[in-house]
Amino acid sequence: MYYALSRRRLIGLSVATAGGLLLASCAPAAAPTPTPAPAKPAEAPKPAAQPKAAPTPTPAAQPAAKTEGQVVELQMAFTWEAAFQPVQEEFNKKFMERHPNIRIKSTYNTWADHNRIVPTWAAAKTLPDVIYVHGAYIQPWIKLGAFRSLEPYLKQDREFDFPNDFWPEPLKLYRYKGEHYAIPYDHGPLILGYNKKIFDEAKVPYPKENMTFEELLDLARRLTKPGQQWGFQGLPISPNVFLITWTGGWGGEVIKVENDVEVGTLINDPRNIEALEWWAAMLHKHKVAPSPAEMQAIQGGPWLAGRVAMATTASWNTPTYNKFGAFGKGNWDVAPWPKGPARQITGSFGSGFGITRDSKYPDAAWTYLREYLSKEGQEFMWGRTGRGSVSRKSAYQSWMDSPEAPPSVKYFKEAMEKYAVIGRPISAVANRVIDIINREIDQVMNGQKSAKDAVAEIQRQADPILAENLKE
Amino acid sequence: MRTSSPASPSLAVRPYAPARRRGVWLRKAARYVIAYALIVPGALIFLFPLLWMVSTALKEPNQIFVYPPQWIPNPPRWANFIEGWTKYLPFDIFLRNTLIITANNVIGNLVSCSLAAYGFARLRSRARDFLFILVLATMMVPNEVTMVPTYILFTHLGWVNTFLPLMVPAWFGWPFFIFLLRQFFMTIPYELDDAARIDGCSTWGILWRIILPLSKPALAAVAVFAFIGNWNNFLGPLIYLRDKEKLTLAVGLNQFRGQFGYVDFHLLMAVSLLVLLPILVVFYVAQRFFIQGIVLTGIKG
Amino acid sequence: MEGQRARRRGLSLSAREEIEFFLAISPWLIGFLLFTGGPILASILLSFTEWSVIDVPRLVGLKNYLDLITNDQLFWIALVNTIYYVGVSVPLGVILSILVALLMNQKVPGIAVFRTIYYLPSVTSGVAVAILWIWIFNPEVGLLNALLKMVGIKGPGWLLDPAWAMPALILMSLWNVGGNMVVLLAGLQGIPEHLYEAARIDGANRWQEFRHITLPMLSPVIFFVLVVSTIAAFQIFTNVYVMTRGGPGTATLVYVFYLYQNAFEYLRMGYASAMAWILFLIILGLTILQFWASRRWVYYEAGLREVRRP
Repeated sequence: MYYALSRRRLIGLSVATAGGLLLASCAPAAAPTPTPAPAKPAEAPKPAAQPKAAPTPTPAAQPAAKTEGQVVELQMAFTWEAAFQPVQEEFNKKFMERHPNIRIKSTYNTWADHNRIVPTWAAAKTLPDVIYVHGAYIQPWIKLGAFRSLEPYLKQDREFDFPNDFWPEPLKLYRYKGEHYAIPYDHGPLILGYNKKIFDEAKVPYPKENMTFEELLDLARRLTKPGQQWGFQGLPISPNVFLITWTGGWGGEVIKVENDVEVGTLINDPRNIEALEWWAAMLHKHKVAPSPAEMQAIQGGPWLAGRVAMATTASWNTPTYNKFGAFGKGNWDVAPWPKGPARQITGSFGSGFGITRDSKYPDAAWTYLREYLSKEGQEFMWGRTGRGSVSRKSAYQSWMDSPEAPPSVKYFKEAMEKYAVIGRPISAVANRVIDIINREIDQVMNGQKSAKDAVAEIQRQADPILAENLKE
Repeated sequence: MRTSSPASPSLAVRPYAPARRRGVWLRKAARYVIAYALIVPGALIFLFPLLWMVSTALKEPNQIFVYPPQWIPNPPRWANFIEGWTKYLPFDIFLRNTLIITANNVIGNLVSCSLAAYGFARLRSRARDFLFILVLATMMVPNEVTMVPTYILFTHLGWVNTFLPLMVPAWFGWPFFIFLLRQFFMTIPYELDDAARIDGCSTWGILWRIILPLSKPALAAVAVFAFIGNWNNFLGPLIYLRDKEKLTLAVGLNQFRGQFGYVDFHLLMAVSLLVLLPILVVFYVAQRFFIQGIVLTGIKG
Repeated sequence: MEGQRARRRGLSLSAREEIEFFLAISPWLIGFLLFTGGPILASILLSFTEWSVIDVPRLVGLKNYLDLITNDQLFWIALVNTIYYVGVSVPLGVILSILVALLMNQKVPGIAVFRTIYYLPSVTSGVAVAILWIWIFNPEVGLLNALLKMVGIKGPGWLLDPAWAMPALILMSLWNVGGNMVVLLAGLQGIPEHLYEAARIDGANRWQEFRHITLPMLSPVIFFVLVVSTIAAFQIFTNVYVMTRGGPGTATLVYVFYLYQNAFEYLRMGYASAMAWILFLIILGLTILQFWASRRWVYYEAGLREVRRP
């Protein structure tokens, strides 16, 4: 839904959307741990050990896992745009060379259409074998039965090295009642991006590590020239809903989670109110952020037009920045997301692939997936092309080495390791909750409603909806 | 305002006194000025998106979002058109598919909707009013809720991933056109029907010889709408066509959009312009039929 | 004499006409039974179920309808917003299309090009159009507020202001005059020249010609435009989906947009179906009203003969 919102807005509001999107996508949602205590989510993002060079064998050496002798045709649905489809086709071609008894037919739809079509296919019971699924839709689709549990394969496929080689936090998205129904291919956090040219011109030092929000504000003020240039872009205005990125630093949570189930909101909390007021003040009091009108007036948003010093930046924004940013590739970089008064935390999100309920050849589909999402597969598809901050720790370096990655790309990795949590809500009713949160927080940022009233209203509307997760 | 009709005898050349001639010229000029003063501002606004499309279609990707916007890209990137059309997707195949579906649907709609409209306009039946409301009623149900059941229906028929769901229904009429043609048919006087019947014409003969020829403007309008509607039709092909070689232009265009807001605007706009051209040509040419068609009522004074 | 012939054949005239009628509409009727009727019936039944589309439907009786009416504030907001939109945009749009059609009927040089330009909006890419609107409605640098400033008015926030977002949407709807313009132009062609001549001979001026010849002769087409515009306006979706997504707040939350959210984003298709059928009843009622009222003001040339033949 997060991406959905951002995409739709971009179609219509190419002006604000790209900018707002980039910002929006940055916000992580609430911490996943059920404890409301604002402890650092120490257990979640810290990987047990640095990714060893996990010896994933080359796909060629792998015996085809239980495919029948006959020729089998797999249908797949992706959301790649035209320019990226050749990469997918190439992977498929090489796969088919390795497995002559498996044929692959791919369908490509845009992201928003895909989300509309998959339920339609499901209703007619004609889902393709393998489909892309975005984090915002994964839980509803799993709960409604669109996917097969992958546990049987994951348990016995040692070479796939699941879950050890994967970033642990993202896996929560794809897990339902203890079983995994899809596997992430990319997952990334929201951190801070900055326009080097603007900093250089003003002779202001770049954002550094261990920065606080107050220091961020200070930098923003120094780099704001009213009407011309702004210090910061990336307030929590829809289509974003990773509220945790903005509020978590003050210690509050957004969603209450019990036993991996989202059961209510925790948003009505003085810490969240303080956080929201702080961000709203950025626009209304300190005026370091472009107003909604200004965001809208500049097509693509002021950040892409090169008029903003710092902006919330997600790992999936890198290709857009490099290709469409007026500042030009190489003139922008990233820094860690600042620390709040209580902690440093940011949200993260991603997408994955799964085998559907209607697949007649799940074994063949698994043969595909295990190679597609292997270290080599991830490197080939998204690492070296710079398309995605991949879900495997062992493949991550290839993304960091890709031409799309900014110079300080290591900060993305640091976030994934240390302080990025899943961007909640993610459960089956998440889309309804997100729309409620959007409506209310937008009004806070627009100065039309107080943060206190907004969070109370969110709690009032969203709690009953989230409670539905308890009913089975 | 009246349509000038050269065939009308009353406007035949009359001798004017020279003073009158000047007055007539002044009035005509004034009319032109007023007309242009009203027409041109609207036209400029309506042209704006097209101009923006052209401008974006010629830009380098990192020039698209520069602010203030540069209207004239420098240097213009003509390669966008070629790259968009040929490099990633087989737009020539999409073009062929779109032509097939569109041609079929225009003809199918013209035939089926004329027939139905004739029935509702001219032929009597006890069930007529009820059925006509039913025709309109199908326009009143948002297609979000019928989309999935329709898809399931076509799945059971085995028509998914073929052109059939897109081509067959056109031969069974479409409410919008039926309603439109019915209204037009009802403006044709009965006297003509009577005269024809006296000459021994059958019901169908009346349709063919009297009603249709007199309805050329309306039929032209239907043809243009059907053409444009099918040319741009996106939802149907999106749902029912899976193989890449079967896709249409509208769906192909859409694939310049990526995930999470990434859109190859320069390519999208370039190819959109190419796809838009035939529509503009068709419309411009078809105007002759629904603007300058002279309606002869066949009844003098 | 015809009647005698028919009677000899054993079929009364009216029976023969009934058969001819059904023959004429048979393509439509067959298509309805084959392709349209089933899904419509299914959707009615589904409105009494809970259906996530992916999973199987589960009968719940009238629960969806009751929930909508008694328990869902967004339903009422969406309904009110939509009625507001229809009530203003339809009359404005119809009147404007008539004026534009008249204007486009002028024989001035280049009019064919202008007509094409005026039709452009209906066929231009959605992205480009959205950019246009953003540019026009932007409170700071937009065209509309710039024009208002020239006459000394400080323009409102339009799409960013809850009170002005809907008026902005209504103004946007006027963009699509092109389609109605085409239909009305075709209608204008059908008005026999001799009527105007006769009027001129009688000394009528332009306005009288318009009021007593053009309008009545055009009324069947105007009626078409009115009915079709109303039906379409109730279902407005695209601009909201693409530009405002119901905001700011719920200012532009229109009925079909909320329906769409329920159907595909929240996967509550049964609930959405109930919404669809409530909307259907409203539109149907209004359309029947329009038809009933049309007897007063719509003039069918052929209507003079609408008497039962023996």
